[in-house]
Amino acid sequence: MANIKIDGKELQVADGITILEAADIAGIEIPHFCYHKELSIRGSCRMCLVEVEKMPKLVPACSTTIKDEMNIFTSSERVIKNRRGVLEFFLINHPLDCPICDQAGECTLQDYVYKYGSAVSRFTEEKEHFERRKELGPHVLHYTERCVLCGRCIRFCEEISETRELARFNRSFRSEVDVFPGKRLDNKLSGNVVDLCPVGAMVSKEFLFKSRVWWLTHTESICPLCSRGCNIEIDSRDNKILRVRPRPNPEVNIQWMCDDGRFGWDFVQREDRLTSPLKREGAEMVSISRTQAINLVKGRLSYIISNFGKEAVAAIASPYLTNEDNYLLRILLLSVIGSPYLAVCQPPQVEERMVFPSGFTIEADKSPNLAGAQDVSAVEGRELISHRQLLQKVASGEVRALYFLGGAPRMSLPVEEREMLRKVDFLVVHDYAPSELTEWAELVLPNLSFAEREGTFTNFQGRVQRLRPALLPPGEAKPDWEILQEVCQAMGGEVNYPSAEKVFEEIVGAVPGYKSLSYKDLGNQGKAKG
Amino acid sequence: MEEKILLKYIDVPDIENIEVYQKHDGYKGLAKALKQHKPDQIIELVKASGLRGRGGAGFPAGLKWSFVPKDSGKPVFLCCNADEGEPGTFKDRLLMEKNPHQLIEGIVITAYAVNCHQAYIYIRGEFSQAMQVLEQAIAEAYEHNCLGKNILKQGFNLELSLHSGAGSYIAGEETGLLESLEGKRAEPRLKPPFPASVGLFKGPTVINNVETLSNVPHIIMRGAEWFKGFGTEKSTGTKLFCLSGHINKPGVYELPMGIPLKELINNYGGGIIGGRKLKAVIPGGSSTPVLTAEQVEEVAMDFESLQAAGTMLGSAGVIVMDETTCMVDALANLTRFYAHESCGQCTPCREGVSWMEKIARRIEEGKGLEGDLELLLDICDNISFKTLCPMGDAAIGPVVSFITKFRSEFEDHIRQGRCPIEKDKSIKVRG
Repeated sequence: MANIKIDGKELQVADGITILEAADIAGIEIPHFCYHKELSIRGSCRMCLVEVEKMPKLVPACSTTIKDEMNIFTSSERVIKNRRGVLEFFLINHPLDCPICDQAGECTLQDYVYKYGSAVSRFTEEKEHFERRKELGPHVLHYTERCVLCGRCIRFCEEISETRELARFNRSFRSEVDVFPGKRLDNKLSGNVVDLCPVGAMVSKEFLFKSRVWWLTHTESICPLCSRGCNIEIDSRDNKILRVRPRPNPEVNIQWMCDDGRFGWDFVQREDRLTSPLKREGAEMVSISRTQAINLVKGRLSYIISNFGKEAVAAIASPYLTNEDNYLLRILLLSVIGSPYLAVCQPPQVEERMVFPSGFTIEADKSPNLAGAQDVSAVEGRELISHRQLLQKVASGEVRALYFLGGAPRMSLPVEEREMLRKVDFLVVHDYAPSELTEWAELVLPNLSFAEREGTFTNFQGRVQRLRPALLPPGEAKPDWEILQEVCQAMGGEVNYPSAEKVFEEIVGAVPGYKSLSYKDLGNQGKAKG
Repeated sequence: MEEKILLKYIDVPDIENIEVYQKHDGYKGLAKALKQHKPDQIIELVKASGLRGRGGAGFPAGLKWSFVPKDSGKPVFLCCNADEGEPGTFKDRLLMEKNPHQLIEGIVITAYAVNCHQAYIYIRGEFSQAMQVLEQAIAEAYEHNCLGKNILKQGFNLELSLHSGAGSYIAGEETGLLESLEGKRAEPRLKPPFPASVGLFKGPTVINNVETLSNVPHIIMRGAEWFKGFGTEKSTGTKLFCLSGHINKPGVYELPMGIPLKELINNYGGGIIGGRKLKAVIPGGSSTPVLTAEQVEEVAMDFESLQAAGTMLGSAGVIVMDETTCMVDALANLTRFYAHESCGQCTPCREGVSWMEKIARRIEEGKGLEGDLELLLDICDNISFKTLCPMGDAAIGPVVSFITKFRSEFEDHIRQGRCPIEKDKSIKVRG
């Protein structure tokens, strides 16, 4: 341990940490551009220089390690003058186009200039000009004149994605970031350079000119596009998602996310989202009321149960829906109806697991909640039937009614499995939009996308993480657990959960491994199940 | 005539040939070092000689070598910095082109002293002739068992590779050199760690200038005391001075450290062209603060005297400027060089130096504004000791000294809205 003093504040910190880290512990912010805690230290922006007693020169806080008895000044006159000087250097050739810059409002340069900069420019020369906007790859544009050359993007591609598309070209004031000749910035993690860029140089093609950032509503949620469950923030406006960005969670996604997740939420805003229950009438699907729909389910299930027995009813839980949804399906099938045939839909494997050398991983399982769906569907002492076996029971005529929870963003059932669905007498499906499940369904109940949901996913590590609703649901779409609760009630079940939270509390009591958890304690980074 | 060390045999025909070199005591220093000295003894000997780095900073060579950790478990590297790029400096090129074996011998002895088995000569990309000569000399040294395995049958192994730069001033900065040698952009590294502990390919690394290493065989042969007989108490040995500018006999002169600058210019350089009046001298390469004609009268050419005069011996590139020199034009020219050569990674150097160039050029063109000089000095203050490598300070050296010492000339430009100096157009200053 080292005893140090920062701005008069005495504190004890671990040996070997940097001044920047020590200041952070002391609650003192030292402005910086090139430093980023997940990247190697370059010390090139010179913004974080601080004064240390007995050291003649200002030293970079990002790279200077603490020594016992160090007396550090982070806002002395010399330090402030350096910050002002560095900011002036950044601005002399900067286009000052904040009014049309995507980063405005969340720009480090803007914030620091507001705090330390000068209102008057001393620069009377011609500014250096560069190609205004370069397309670096499918998702990322580069506004070269706004770049502060901190090199975070370059280091990200060297150290995290290890794809090495980016470099600094030319020297001196003609320096610019670009892709190597013949390369494109199209690795799976490319969108992260936009987040890493402290200014408006790296921008997302998808978000460009969509909104001023201060109009966005930020909602903490979980990415639904693979079983890693990257922690995300949904940025929305006027009930539309405009941007998705990762939130830091060292246990799950460090602070990155892949481009599939970052840009893959468009299904939420499909034009053909289902807004009311639909009943098949011949080749047509017609809209019916919710009461009619529930009555239809009740009538058809009761008929099948009384004529063919409870075991003629089966259900398939969804790895794309929350634990709460799947738990209500279990209650309906196992408790209210009393059939043993509950399976969890096995998501198809479409690509290999991608492990980046930095540790960040994109999972092969493209569903967000396979582990959770299995956890809440499992009954102690009994093996879960596979959804394949279950579909065979459908094909053989053993099962006559099938309750199928959908919700997959773009999953497709194998053709032969899809064909099996035709055999079932009564197929009821929950889904958010027309899908291969709704194709043969007699009744379709509209559910929610992840962005409209409250509830929990359990990722592949067994970490239970919370979703929060960013958008209002379209039309009469409802969370699956709520629809299922109504079905249970109609079938004589005594369930009455007022919220997803209450369902989760029930899960805590009923599902092994979840006993140590509580909804409130999940916080915004989730908790590992026991 | 003073006794010479490095240039003693420079005019011997074919001295670049190993057999000729050997006839002139060549590789005897190496033999002596390997046979009679332990590595530590060589370090002590060089420490005792007072030999200081000839690349610019003047750091004691023996002390630098002693910083190499003995137990790092990693291979030690020796890099000869032959990226001579400081404007006004052209001594290493001469040493390499004329007497390459003297350098190679110095490298082998130094490598032996620091327990290095792989050495590099990082040579400036433009030095094509020196490269050819060195390549030939290295091949000869291998043939004569002065390089390679079991050198002179004394059990010491050393591989020496010649590596050409791609044309960048900053590759002469030692950590920029290491980056370039590793195949990357020549961008100086953050220090610490220093190269002596973490250098080339993360191994402990010694980086020495061509002239420094060329001195080593002579120190081995003739001893520390003999070497200390040259120069001053703290600046020992001789020095290669590069005389250029408005001078009758420009060239490289080997003279003892501490020679009065006036004597160097008048006795050796043959005085100012056309008998004109001296105006200013940059004593140690373009980055060292300029001296006025009055200062030239008094100053001696050694590390301490020049430091006392507010400047540096640097690379001993002595640039002489007479009364026809416009100091504003000269400054614009110098800052243009630094603005062009900044590697661009750190902010103050990348942005500040080109800004200074633009202002200096504008003043020279008669468009100077009131406040420009204060602005220039403040930009210098915002660069001074705040950059990642010493290049920022190299770039402001001329700016601060030119404005401080020739302020009225700058003010005349601004006030009159034109350049008031009658320049000698026969010498092209801008390249």
